[in-house]
Amino acid sequence: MKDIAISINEVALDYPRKKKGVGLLREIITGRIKKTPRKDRWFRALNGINLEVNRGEVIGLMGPNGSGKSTLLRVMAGIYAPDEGSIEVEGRITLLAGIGTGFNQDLTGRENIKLSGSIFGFDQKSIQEMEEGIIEFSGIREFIDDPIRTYSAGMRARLGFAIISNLEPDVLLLDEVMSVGDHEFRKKSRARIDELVQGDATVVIVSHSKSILKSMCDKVYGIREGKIVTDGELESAFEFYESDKE
Amino acid sequence: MGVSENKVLRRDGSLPFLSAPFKIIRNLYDNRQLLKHFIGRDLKVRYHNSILGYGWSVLEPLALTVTFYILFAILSDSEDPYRPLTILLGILAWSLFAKTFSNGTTCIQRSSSLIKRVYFPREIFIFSKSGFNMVQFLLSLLVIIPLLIHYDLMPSKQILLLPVALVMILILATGLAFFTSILQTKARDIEHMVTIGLRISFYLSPVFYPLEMITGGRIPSQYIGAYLIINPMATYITMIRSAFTGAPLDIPTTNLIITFTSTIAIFWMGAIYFMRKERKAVKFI
Repeated sequence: MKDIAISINEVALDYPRKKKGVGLLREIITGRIKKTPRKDRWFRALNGINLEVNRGEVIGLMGPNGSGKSTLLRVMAGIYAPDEGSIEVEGRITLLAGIGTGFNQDLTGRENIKLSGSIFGFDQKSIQEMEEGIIEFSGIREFIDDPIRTYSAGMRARLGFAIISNLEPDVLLLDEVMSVGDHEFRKKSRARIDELVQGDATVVIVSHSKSILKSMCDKVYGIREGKIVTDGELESAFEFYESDKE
Repeated sequence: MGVSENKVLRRDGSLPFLSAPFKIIRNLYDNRQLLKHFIGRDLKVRYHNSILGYGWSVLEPLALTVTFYILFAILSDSEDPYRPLTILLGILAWSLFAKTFSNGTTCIQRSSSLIKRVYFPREIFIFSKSGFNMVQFLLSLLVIIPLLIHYDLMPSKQILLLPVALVMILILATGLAFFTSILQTKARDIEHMVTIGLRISFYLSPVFYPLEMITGGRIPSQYIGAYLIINPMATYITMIRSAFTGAPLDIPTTNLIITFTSTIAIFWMGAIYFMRKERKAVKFI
């Protein structure tokens, strides 16, 4: 019997159509007179998603922009709660969408390590243990006590990645992170991600890159308009993606 | 590794109702480390890059106190033996309330990049602002020490009013911020409304004048009870003043009970509102 790491059951999620302009004042003034129907204010970003991911499995999500891939990752990470259905994820989850999560420009590199570490859920002791390693890995020891607004973009990326690479999540959600940074940085991060993928972590990758998905994933699902439309076979997902482009 | 062990994250449609405040306190305890880091971050950012640093948290209330002292000397002939202390304590207590409330209002919206990347209970943001402003208050409270020495005021058992009033101010401001922080995600108008509301209530509350100026006959006595109920800050500021001057608290017990109850009710309702709306609200940021 296989262990199930992520189980998504009939999940639906609505997303507001307009982010701004739903002004409360306006709603008070105009709301009673001209109430916009619910379907004009919300759209179904995810619609009846069913998915089970076994422990240690690596799956990919593929689909056109706005199809709901990133939203699905956020639901898995607990950032958005589903409006319908339920989701269960076992173990520590980390969503990597960009680097430098929670960085504050005015704090020093060292202070940011502590802050970012605690945001990712580490306790005081493990942050202290990690600190030296992170500084070493980032290769910016000389500047570690300067505020990071004085850093170059590259230095910030290195520090951010050094923190990320210390995470050892049970479930890792990757949202296009492999496409940031310079060539060397990309190679380094790719190597670390490969390491995680080959380890026993469960990984969900969102990407537009066929080659990345092909080399890493056990299963790839195509997503369109908030629905999973393929059965997990790599070929059918790629076929769907190609045909959708046209 | 020190991360919480093999937890199961489960999210579905169920929402807490009456238990919301307990759930919030539980979340707060579970994430106390993070809370500490957020408060530390705000304090560091505040003091890191300024020459005067800590001086600013003292200078602002001092400058206001001097201003109102002069204004008072011109406009009023009332006798208040501790006038500078009265004004200073009023301003410090008010800014604890006003800053907690207004920072709390905007904190969810301003943390959008973090909220979209990592999940932890969002009330942490609001409480981190409460904690930050509490620390700020305690730091700037030190300036009253010279005044206490000058007036030869020794802390009596009245000083116990201080922690009670402080906790109630925080509960009130946090409870109000539970509502406004959610509304702010949908309509950015809210922060401006809060700013204006706070400015108006600054003048309508006994911040730079003692409560006696309201209760002392200038307002018909039948309205005083209503005033105290509508404006809980009037009670809390007066409590803080009594804590230091040792003057008896000149507020009827019934009014005290009503004020405390309404403050706790605001927090309770705010907690329920926040817990039920937070999920939807984060989609707007």
